[in-house]
Amino acid sequence: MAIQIEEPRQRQQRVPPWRNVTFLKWAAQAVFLFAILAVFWILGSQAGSNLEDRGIDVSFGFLNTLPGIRLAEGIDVLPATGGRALYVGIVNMLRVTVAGIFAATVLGIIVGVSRLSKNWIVSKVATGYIETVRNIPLLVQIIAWGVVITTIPGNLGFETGPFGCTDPVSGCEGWFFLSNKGASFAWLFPADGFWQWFAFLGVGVAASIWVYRWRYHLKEERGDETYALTWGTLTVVAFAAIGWFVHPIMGFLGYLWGWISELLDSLPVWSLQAVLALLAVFFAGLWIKRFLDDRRTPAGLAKLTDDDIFRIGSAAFAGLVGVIVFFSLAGISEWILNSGRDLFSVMDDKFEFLDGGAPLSFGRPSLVQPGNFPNYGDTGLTMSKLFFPVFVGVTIYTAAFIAEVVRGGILAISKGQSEAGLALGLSRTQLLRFIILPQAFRIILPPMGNQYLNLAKNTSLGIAVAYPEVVAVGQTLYNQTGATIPVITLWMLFYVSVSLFISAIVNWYNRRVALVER
Amino acid sequence: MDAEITPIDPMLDDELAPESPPLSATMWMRENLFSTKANTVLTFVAVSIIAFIIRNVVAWIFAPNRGWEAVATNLRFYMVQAYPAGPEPEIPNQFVRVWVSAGSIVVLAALSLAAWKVGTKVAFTKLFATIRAAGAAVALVAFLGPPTQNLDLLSGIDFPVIGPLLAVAGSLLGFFIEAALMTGGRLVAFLIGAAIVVGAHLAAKATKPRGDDYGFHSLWMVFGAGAIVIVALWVVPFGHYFFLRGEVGFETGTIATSTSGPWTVIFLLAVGGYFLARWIVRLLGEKSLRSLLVLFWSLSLPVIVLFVLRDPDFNPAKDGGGFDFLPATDVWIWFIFGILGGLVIAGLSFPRLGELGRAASGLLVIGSLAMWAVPMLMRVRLIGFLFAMFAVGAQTFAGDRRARVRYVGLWVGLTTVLVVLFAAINTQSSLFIQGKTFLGGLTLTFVLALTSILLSFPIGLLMALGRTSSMPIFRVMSTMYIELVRGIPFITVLIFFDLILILFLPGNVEFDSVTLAILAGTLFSAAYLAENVRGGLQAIPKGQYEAARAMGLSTLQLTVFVVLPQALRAVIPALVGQTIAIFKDTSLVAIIGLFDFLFIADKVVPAQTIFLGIKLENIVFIAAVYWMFTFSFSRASLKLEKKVGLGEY
Amino acid sequence: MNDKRDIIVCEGVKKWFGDFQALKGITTSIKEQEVVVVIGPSGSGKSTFIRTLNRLEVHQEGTIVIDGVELTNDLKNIEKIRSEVGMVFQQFNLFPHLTVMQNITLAPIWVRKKPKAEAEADAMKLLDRVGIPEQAEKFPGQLSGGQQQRVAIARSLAMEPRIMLFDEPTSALDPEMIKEVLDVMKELALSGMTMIVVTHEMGFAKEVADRVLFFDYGLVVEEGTPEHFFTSPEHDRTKLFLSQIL
Repeated sequence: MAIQIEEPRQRQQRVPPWRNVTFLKWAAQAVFLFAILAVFWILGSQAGSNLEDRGIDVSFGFLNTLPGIRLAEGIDVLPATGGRALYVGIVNMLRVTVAGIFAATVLGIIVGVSRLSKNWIVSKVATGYIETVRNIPLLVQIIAWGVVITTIPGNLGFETGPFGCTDPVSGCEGWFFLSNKGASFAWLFPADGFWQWFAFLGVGVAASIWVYRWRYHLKEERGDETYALTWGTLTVVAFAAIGWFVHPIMGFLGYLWGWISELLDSLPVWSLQAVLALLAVFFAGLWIKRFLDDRRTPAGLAKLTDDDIFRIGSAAFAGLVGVIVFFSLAGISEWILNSGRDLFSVMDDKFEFLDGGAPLSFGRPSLVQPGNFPNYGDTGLTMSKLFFPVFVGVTIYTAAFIAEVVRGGILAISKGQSEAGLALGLSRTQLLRFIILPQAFRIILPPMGNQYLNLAKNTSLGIAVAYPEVVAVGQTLYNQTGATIPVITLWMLFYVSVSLFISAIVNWYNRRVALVER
Repeated sequence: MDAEITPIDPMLDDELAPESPPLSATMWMRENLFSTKANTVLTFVAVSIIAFIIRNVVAWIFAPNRGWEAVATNLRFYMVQAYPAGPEPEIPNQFVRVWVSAGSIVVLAALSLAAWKVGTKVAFTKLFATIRAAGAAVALVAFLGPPTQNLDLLSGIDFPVIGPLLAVAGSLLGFFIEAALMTGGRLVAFLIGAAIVVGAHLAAKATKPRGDDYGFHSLWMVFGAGAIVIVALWVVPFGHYFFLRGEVGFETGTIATSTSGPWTVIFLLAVGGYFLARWIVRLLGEKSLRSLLVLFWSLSLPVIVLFVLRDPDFNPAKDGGGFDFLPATDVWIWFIFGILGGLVIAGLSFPRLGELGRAASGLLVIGSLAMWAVPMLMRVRLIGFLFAMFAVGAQTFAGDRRARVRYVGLWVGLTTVLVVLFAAINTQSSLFIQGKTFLGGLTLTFVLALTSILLSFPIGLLMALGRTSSMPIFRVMSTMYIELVRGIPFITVLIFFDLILILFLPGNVEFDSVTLAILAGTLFSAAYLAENVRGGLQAIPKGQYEAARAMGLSTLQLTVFVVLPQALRAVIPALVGQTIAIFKDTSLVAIIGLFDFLFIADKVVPAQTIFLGIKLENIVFIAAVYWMFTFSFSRASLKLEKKVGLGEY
Repeated sequence: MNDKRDIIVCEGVKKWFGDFQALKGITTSIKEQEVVVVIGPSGSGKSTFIRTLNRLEVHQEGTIVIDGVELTNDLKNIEKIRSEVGMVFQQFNLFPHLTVMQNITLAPIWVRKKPKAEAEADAMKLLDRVGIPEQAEKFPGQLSGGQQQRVAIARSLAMEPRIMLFDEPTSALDPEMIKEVLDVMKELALSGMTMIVVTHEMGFAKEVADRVLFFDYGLVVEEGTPEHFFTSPEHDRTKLFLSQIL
């Protein structure tokens, strides 16, 4: 059948740009990008002149000067520099975040499971808790807790029992105190040898994973029960116990960290700049290579569309921008080098103690000034009256959301799954262990990560009760120095990196689960 | 593939199943509370916790030194803050504006209830069962309540470890002893509760044989509750505050008729309006009434905030002839964009224009963007941008003659409204404003939440489309924005707008802090909305896009007619959730010092000389109000979710 | 038949999905009013082929000329071709939030710029033609699969296309509903519509097709009249396929 063509074939027909789909697509994007950049440029130049007129400081100089502020609590209440003050704020924020995540998870799981309980009253109590807590703004709750803790009359602790106070004038020790100064309770504190012991424990965990796999493998081979989990746990316990006495052998790590620290100190800045620039080129090249691999066909490289060429160009451009940035702004590399050096030198200090002191020490709270305005000693773990409302507020609030996540995860596993498991002859425990829990976990974890992220962000509401976390400290700093723009930039950087960190963990887990699924 | 699955009708199921005999109380308890040993222990623990909480809460609420009159006296403050209330004797207070605003919203709501035929039938049996439960709750609380006002459960217990257990067990025992010795208000409350239980139970039994059809319209409950509130306004001595020669004065235990009178009128108007609207619907059908009400609702927020509450001063006589810029600029803006622009849009919408029209609208877009680079009035830039967007859409949406007329009409109407609103924003207020801003209290909270969510809607929509787009620059930029905003706490965004934004703007531009808070809330919630909408977009099958493309729909048409209606329907629950979240988040503006609902409870009332230091009562009060609103939102969204399933797949 | 002009001309059409080459150079032409049935095992590229004809898939090499217009990046050509080529999908792809009437009138109103009343009158005629005029105000979810596919055909016809593409129109249907859809398609073929049909319904192919294309491994392995194709196929692949399917 001959191909007959009525009109002359218009090969390589010239398409006018305003009708070319590819051109239009990229033109719209370019206009948009240009508009955004223009807006930024206009705003930026306006800001420049405004700042000059008002004499507002935009430099980060305050990070290195004496701020002259006093923080209500933290690892360093009289910080020597603005940077140190922010660092104290970050540590405070992380403290309340970590404690809150731990407590909210425990409480949330209890409440979530309770809501599914067959016991009518238990499930109603859990429902009531969730519906009350999540419908009231968190800030209102935090402020309420702040009022509650500061209006407690005297001490509600148990300082007068057989374990408690015998001499109310000179003070006493107890187990748990609650007063308008906050709460104080017994706690295990890391002591001198802690980090060495911790490193030893890390070796133990690695060993226990190996032991677990070995026992599991044995079970697969022989078929009878090998108690893999028990063996694994016992290995960790054994390492913890042995490590209690022999932990100084990990002291060599201190020398290692010290050596790395010195190495980083001696490196010239240009070397890191070169490495970073090379990395930028490498990643751009890698992306382009992968992209081309994707387009490669057995018959050779497929014809690249206009879109593809634009994409490759953009990737190359991004790499180039990276190189220029790293070379023109030597400060970035310098900062990375210096922080790396400081980090390793701090770690060196932590591993320094070689006299074999105990890793942990136990302390009970003490009341040095009983009465209506009590004072706590430093032997117990004390939650200040500023820490308390933030901690209790975010814990109770987030727990309500975690409870819903947990409930949803358990309910999402269809009845069919349980029935299929039972039909296979699995026992109830096996059903839970092999069918329900793995699936529930997979469903629960991503939203759980989201809740942790919310909790971390919500700690910033501590500013309302003057808890010195990073936002409150930043506010004090810019009230003192007028450096609003740098402080807000640092806030954003900090929170974005926290959320990237948490979502990276969740994504990593998701990817792992997805791989297992295949 | 497309097997027709008939959903199992629960009602049907009920009829077919043999009527199971109702469980006796003991049987029910055995099944639900004491089925196993562990369950029994759990029950006791839970009961102890509830008893402990109720006991202490009741003791706290009814303690003689509670300062509830701080809340009652400041109710007006909570609603509108120091809305112009005549600080000087010769300036009359302006509360009538508040009544007009509240009244229009309440009446509009009543009309809408009629137009959308809201409400179901409530069976008497169910009503009585609910009353019975409420009576039981009253009796239970009275039963568990403390015998004296200052009961401290933990005092006098010496053993630290078993102390709490003993205290709980002791109080459990104590309840029964005290129950026999109940006196005073507690006994009265218990008896009232018991009487309600008995009465409602008998009534429920009597009405049960007549079935679920024997009932009344549920709106009667709403009207009944409203009537109770009105009566309470006349009878209960709430207390009020007033301004006398610039000083705030308080009078506890009284009630101002300037509150109860207007509310009575509003209530009567609302009920009357409801029945009028019912009658109109029966006579003319609901279609026209509904579109009229939609128009009213969409105009109500700006009109009330800008015209009724703020009262823009269009008076030309005042200092320096502030009026002359109105005819000099705004009228011209309206003429150029509304009338001439309307003609341009009409021209652009001719189907035969083809590429020429496309090129022209593209040039208009570039021109409207270029307006941001040259010094120009902000309102001209905004209207210019909207104009360009309308011009782009003209080809797409104004095909036949009628659609064209409607499209141009829409543009002219929109410009008119916008120009008037811009003029209102740019004129001074004729009121003497007390506080930092004229809005405050719960009103401010609602205005913040509503404006933020409404404004963030289009932005979030665009951002979601950008993030799912195949065009990399749009995708990357939307993703960056969304992830950045979602990564940082709202308070930093608020502070950013409060302190920094002003530095980026030309010196003559000024924003008041409410506008800045609205901007912050809008841009913040846009990122979250975008993520919600993205979920809906991803749920749309690829075939829908392909079918629409194969039919020749353009990208814009495909998005507007096919994609968005489906995506939005799928994400309604998430959108309501986002609205609730924004409503709760507005409380953060208290940190930057706006006089919102929380700020008044936290800082203002506790600082008044006669209520000095009374704080927890105020916080508990606002917590209850916040709870009431968010709880009813979420309940309403559950119902909505079930309703919109209609007509899908 | 030979006096009809070619309405679709494909020359060396190639298409890759990543590493996988779906089309390895398709060269064929289709005349006006011709009914072409495309058959082949799954993954042979037959669906991809007809999707390149209205640019739902973008071919990477070769040329496609439809009614004298070449398919390129040109917006105008794409618009023109899409409004002249109707397509019916395996999964119907009706818009679930719109009524049957709205589904049919959507494109005529907004693409063809027809007045609404006219579009609705035309839609009723089409619904009559596919035999379900009483369903106009229902939502797709309330219809059976066969009815939905007939609405989808009516929706495509509402744009008054010169060519209709059918991508396995009966594969998602229950057996008892296949016939009602095939009847509509036969009626359409008899009325002189140019049709390209990807299907597994061999009865339809024997009865209605003017020509059968057999696809495998992204190539047209064999083509010819139905009689030739079903009675004396030349190629081994074709024989194997027919033995499996018949």
